[in-house]
Amino acid sequence: MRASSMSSRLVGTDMGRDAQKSAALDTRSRMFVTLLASVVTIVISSFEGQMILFAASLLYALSIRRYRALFIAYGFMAAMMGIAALFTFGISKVMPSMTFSLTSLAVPFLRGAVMLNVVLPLALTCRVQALLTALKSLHLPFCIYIPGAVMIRFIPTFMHDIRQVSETLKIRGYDLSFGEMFRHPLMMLRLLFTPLLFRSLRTSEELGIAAELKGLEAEGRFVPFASSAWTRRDTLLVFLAAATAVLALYCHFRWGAVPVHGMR
Amino acid sequence: MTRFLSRWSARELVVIGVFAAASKVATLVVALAGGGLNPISLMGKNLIFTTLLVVMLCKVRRPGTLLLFTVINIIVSMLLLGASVTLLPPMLLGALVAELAMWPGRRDGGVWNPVLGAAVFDVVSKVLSVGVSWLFMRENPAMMVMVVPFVAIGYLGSVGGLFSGVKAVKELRHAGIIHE
Repeated sequence: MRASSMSSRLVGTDMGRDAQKSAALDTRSRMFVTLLASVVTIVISSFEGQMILFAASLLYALSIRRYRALFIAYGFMAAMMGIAALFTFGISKVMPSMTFSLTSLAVPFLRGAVMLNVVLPLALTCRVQALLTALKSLHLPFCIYIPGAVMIRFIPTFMHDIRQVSETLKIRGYDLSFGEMFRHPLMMLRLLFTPLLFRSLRTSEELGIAAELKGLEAEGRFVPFASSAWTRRDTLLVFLAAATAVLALYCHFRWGAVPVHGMR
Repeated sequence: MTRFLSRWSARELVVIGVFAAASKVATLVVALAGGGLNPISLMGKNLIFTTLLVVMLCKVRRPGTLLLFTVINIIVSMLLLGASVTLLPPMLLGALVAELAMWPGRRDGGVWNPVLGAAVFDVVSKVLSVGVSWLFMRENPAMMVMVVPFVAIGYLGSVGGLFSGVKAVKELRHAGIIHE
């Protein structure tokens, strides 16, 4: 009885995992969306076109259902935009030739929001292994693949190292507050940066030796740990992203040609 | 082309990757700790980036290393961090000019050739990135007035990074971690 319930629970978990896996999008499709958005958002300088990009990218960001992370990211971005708007207002007061209007700030701010909407799903849903597999499937040259893979693999490790270093400094009585960073910036940099530099050198030495011992070389053949699966959902995402880009470009050239309050 | 691409050993490629990760993380942490538009954190992150660049160029003494480091940074930033494609020309051009500047002294074992490369890379990429900023904010030129001083402050940090890079390399040589 117990065994059967356990096995059904295990099967249930596996099925849930399988369902989750099939529902997840491939990293390459998310990378494509990010890349496309970064190009199109620069090309489009009209409010109409940017609004289409923003609406579509917001739906994409909401689709991952990480509302708290999205809310925090938007809060941070709003604060940054507020500071930028204040600076612009101050400059317009000092230099009257540079007029200040919120509508003219809308397009640069929407560009930032569009990029946030496409980067968050990539950052929050893709695991390091999936990124490495995606990088391998791009068929990059050996001299670009190896450093790229090492870079992706070690970004979380270095984050963890910095956290450990700061905890160690706190234990030793150093104050790592915002005010202290202002009062003694050089000392703070030295305390945080020197261990990171030594850690980088040691890691690169160890990994380099390991890579040589494993026989990694330009002509070598690599077999990825896990294979990536491109599904219909990925094709649909790529198609929708391309359609949105075309629609935004159309709106930009069709209705965005007349300047509004100094925009364009 | 294939010969050029296969000139780095696996060990050197790993060093480049590790330093690319370290520079990305360190600059991100300093920028976040400082709260964005803070001149001190802006100087600090440029100082760290240039210091790491000088140390890496001293560790991997092969023409094209700076260019490869830049290409990897751009690829990873573009694909994963949503960095704009517009960053590509200034960074690549900066790396190319820096490689050209380092070419005559490529056989020197000292620290000055990497310092020269890092200095040229900083100047060229910063100047060109101001042009990219204009592309982003062309709808509101007033914002450019704010961007230029910030780039200048960042550059001051890069200059400081050259000095701290020389100091770090001297210390690391003394410790036997970087060899002539």
